[in-house]
Formats: sequence, C-alpha cells, structure tokens
Amino acid sequence: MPDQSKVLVTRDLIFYYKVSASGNALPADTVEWGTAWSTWTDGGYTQGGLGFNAEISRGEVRMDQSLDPVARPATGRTVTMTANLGEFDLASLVTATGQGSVSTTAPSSGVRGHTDWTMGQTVADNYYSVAFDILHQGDDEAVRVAGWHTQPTGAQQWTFGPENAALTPFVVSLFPDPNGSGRVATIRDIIEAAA
Amino acid sequence: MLKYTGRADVLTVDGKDYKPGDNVPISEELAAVLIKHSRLHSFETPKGQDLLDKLTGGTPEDSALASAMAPALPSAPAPAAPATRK
Repeated sequence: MPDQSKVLVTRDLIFYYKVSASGNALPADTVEWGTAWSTWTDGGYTQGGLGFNAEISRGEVRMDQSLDPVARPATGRTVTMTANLGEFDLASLVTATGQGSVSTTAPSSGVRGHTDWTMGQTVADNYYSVAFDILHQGDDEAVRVAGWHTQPTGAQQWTFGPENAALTPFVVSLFPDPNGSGRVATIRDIIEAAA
Repeated sequence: MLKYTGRADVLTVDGKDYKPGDNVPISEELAAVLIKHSRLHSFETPKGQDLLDKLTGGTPEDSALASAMAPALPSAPAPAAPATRK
C-alpha cells in the first residue's frame, strides 16, 4: 500500500560542514533535528535543496555467443553533494572554493575591522566533511546524509544584483576517507524511540 | 583569553597576529561580534567550551550576552509545525 508518511518533502534542511579529520561522526541519535551539531559549522540558508548524487559507471564485455553483455565491470564512480549557499559569508566562499587564505582584522573601539579572502597562485587540496540534517515530516525524525572526505570541485560564480540573492554554488566530490577506513558516505535514517 | 578555533589563517587583534590554536586577548563581546559576522570564526573558553555553544545554550549568567547577539546568531531555519503521526 502506498504510504504518504514515507514521502519526504521538507523545508527543514540544515547544511553542515567541517574540516575532514579522523573522528568525524554524525551526532548521537539523541540529538534531535534542529539541535546544532557540536563541532560542525551550520552553513545557514540554502536555496534549491540539498543534493546527493552517486553514479557508478560500468563497461560492457560482449561475446559472440551472447546478445547481452556477459559482464559489466565497474569502470568508475562519481559521488557528489551539492547545495546553493544563500548567505554571503566568506566562510561559505572558503568552503565552496577550498582555496585561498583568510585574514581578519578584528574591530576595535570606534574602528571597523575587515576580513580578506585572497586567492593565491597555488591550488590547494582541502578536504571537508559535509552533512545534511533533514527532518522527515512523516515520522518527525531526522535523516542524516554525510560525505566524509570531500573536495570542492564545482565552478564558482557569484551574481550580485537587485532581484536575486548572491548564491554560493557548493559542489563537492566524495573520496574514500583515509581517516575512516575508506568510508565514502553515510545516510542515516533515525528511528523514533519505542514507547 | 579565548582560544581561537576559527578558520582564518590570521586573526589580528590590537595589531598583533594570532593563528588558530592561539590564545587571544579578546573579550567575549568582541569575539561574539566576529562570530556573528562570519561563520569563519569560533572561539573556545578557558573551560574548553565553544563560545557559541556557551552563548546559545549556556548557563544563566551567559543569558545577557546571549540575548545581546541572539537576533543575528547563525541559526537553522525555524522548524515547521510537527507533523501528525499516524
């Protein structure tokens, strides 16, 4: 029987990220949706939903005697996570590009401060753990998606104008996590506590 | 003193440069201004508590500081009304 409660459509989405490191983990099941994840950075508003995409490409081995391929060996895998970050914050920019250096001069009494993001001549390889905390309205419990060792790979562009928010495109490719036994991604569906 | 745990490569306070992991002579109020302005910045109290956690869910004595910066604190979108369970 179709079950409407299993249909997941929600605005209750939170985007988190942190530097990829040993020990990165989803929060305990006791952490309800909406409670801030300790040590993770909340990415703030997003637009257009949060994307998780996994594709395994396969070749074909064909033989004269078979109309269909006799084997389809895996030839590649591409896993990405995507979002459009809606808050213009240099933190988003740093994370989305994985590039550049940041320096902040704190304000003082009567004197403004500033933060500079500087893209230098070298291309850095920075890795992040990225996660989505999604509230499933059907059971009022969280669905959590994490990519453990991700690298920004998307094209970056910003449009500043009067009609639309300046979004920061966020696209990361997932790799096996050298800090966590080669794990790539986790999708955790929380089950409500028993009565 | 607050330990800087943010992601700026250099944080300059009163003309002196600090890096992540350094203890910075900065007031909680000024640190809160930096946290409010950008998610780049985070600090740890001498007790080892994240300053943002302290300001958003800390002890009653923190409430005045928390209420001062709460309107602009990074936060999740407000949750919708709880779904009706079957």
